[in-house]
Amino acid sequence: MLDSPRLTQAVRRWPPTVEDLRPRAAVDDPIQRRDLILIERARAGDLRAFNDLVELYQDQLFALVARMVPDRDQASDAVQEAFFSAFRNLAGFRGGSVKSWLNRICVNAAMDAQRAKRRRPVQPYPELDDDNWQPPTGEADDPERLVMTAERSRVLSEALTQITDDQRTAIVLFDVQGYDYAEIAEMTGVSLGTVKSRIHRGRLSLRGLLEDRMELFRG
Amino acid sequence: MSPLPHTHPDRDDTLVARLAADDIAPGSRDDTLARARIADCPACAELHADLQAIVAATADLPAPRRTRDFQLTDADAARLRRTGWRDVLARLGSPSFAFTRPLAAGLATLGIAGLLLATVPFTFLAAGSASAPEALPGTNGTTSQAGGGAPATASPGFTAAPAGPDLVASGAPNPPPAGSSPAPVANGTPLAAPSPGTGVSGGTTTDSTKDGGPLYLSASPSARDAAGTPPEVGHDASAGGGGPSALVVLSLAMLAAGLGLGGLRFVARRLG
Repeated sequence: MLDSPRLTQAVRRWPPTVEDLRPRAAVDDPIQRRDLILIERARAGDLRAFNDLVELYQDQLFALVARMVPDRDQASDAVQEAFFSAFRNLAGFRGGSVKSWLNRICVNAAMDAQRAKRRRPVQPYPELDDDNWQPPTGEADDPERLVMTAERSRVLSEALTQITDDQRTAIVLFDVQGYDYAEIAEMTGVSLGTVKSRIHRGRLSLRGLLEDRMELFRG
Repeated sequence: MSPLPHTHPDRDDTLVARLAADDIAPGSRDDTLARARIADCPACAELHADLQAIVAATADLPAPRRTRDFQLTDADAARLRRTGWRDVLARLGSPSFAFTRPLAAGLATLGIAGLLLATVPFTFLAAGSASAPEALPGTNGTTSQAGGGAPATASPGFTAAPAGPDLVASGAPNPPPAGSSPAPVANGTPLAAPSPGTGVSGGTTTDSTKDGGPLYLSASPSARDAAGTPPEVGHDASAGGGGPSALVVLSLAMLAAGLGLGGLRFVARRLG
């Protein structure tokens, strides 16, 4: 996706300004450089540049939010609201990683959605059995293993919906997104110790919920 | 060493969870303890293995697939672009204006503190002086200290009215017109002789030696009755002084500014 013709075209859209828009400190990462260029164009009023960013990151941001907010519709709304918020606050972007900036906005939107869900509880994962959960790739030649992996994902996802929002958020950010404790503490506005505690307690809760199905995980 | 029973008294699941997350400094006391537990207790070892398996499975969870496109339309963009007052308000809620939050809190706090300072301590002071041991002649027949700038004190039978910066307690005996009598009288006994530091106005004793402001004493109804004068509602400084003091006005202004700024920032953050 990063090398798609459309994005290459998008980056080339305003050739004369590309050099001017680069930050003074050289950005070695080509992805980050591309993101910064798109951000600058979006700041200048180019909606297409912003939508290029949306296209680049919407899949992974939705995956992040959907893990934090079990209800799929609420997750979609949260992601849409996050992109709205990002567009409104383009001027507030202070440099650095665009991906991290968008992730933070999405985590905030997801936590807002979690709070809203607490006020108006809904049935989690109403469409859990639909085809939105993609089967793992690379093991297609072993149907039995594929079924077992799918079942493991299903029960684990279901267990994740049953632990607290705070614990789920910490576990998703740590185990799935790969953030470290300090980053999670900053994102969620709690102390380092609280983040660690949420992760440990969340994992213990998951283990308690999955105790009868642990054979799926031990194989 | 035989393995510990399935559940032992010092079992600590959190410790095992910390070890599974590599959250224990190697070689530390907790590390040694946790590893000993896993080595000795099959249940702890199983928990450790299960937690590691859950962590691995969580990391491998398939990514949920989005069900809609989140790109913005021109209408969205037009709606989200800020113009006019919304732009100004949005700037107030931006991180560069984060200082407005403590500023608002500080202003409101100073305002409240100013209001309290303008009223409460002086009320206590007046109450304190009202409960001082020295008695006024109207209640025990003795004459209070007079002259030499000695402060006038009130007996328990006297009440002090809350007032502003100037301590004020209304004179119980119906005060005659100002200047009509050089020395107030309660129960027929001079209340206090005029002194350089003590101003007397009618039935009201004004003690300018205390905090530099006048102190009006209010006698109890019995004292009023004894003086043969009809009761009168006491007057205070704010009523007689021609409006609130500068401190009160300033405090109110700061409180209003703090609350207003805080409210604006709250709205700005909500809109953002």
